[in-house]
Amino acid sequence: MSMFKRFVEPGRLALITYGPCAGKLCTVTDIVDQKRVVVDGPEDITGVRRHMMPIKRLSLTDFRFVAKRGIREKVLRKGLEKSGNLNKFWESSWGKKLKTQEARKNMTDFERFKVMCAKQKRSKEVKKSLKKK
Amino acid sequence: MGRNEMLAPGVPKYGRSKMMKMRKANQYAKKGGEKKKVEEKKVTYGKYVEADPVKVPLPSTKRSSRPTKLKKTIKPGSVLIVLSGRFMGKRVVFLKQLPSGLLLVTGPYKLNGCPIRRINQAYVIATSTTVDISGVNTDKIDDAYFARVKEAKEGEEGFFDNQEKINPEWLEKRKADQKAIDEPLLAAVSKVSLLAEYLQAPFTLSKGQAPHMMKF
Repeated sequence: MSMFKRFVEPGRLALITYGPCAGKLCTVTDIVDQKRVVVDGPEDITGVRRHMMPIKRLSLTDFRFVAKRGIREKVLRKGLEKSGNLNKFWESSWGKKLKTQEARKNMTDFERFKVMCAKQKRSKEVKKSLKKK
Repeated sequence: MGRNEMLAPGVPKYGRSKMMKMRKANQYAKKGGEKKKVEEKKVTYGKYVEADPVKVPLPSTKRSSRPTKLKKTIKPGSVLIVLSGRFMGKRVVFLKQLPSGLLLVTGPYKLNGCPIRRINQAYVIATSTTVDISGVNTDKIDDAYFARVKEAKEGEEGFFDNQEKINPEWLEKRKADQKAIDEPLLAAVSKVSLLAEYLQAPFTLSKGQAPHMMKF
């Protein structure tokens, strides 16, 4: 029985949690030492350039594709496409949570109002059904 | 003056050095030498110069007055949140910018009690929601429309009367204009679900909400 399931390895999809790229997905492409890795979400796909990053800034996801150390962009793209990891991530519960957080942050005033109305409606229904009992 | 002459008051034709030369030349002449003529330098003008130059005023740096620049986020039909004044917190519909720079808005009156009114765009948050105002005609309304109504009544009696009465004709006209503008607006508002309720509800901040972090 292994304690760890997510490893820092080439091909591992990770979410950057700190720094200028915070909130973006990237793939680990190479390992520098115990604390640092080289990371690349191909820039046009996720907006992360190929660069070195401390592991502390990453949150590893469940998704990876098999890759050798130091994979270059072409192989990286192929791997991502074939595995469909990005889509898998956004469809996972973690990814969905992130999306709802973003949607909530970007709500306009009218949308906030509509949400408030929906919440009120729901609570009315709940109270009604409780009263019946 | 002997050798000299005044071209203009205080402006002699020959300056000091020239006068000195002429004096010296004359001295020698008196002693028996030739009178040295001080040659008049032919003045060549580069370009034509007016004998009596007319004073031309400098170009004015004042700009012709124009209304204040409208915020980019405010568009015709935008819903605005009023931040101060009698209708603080109301969500109103923006119609057009008047020549004075103020914004012409309306509640619509039936929804939130705000009539056709002028507001300064500094006291307003523009939301990204818009209402279709293509059916609304605001041509008749300008800044003069909102001028205070003065009833010409003389004497003390008139003074007290003016303060208390609202001219019924003026009121009827206002009501008619309000209706004319609001009818097409209400029709457009009713087409979007919850938009009428949205305009009716006042804007409030609840705990944890900060306007600078919110998207409108």
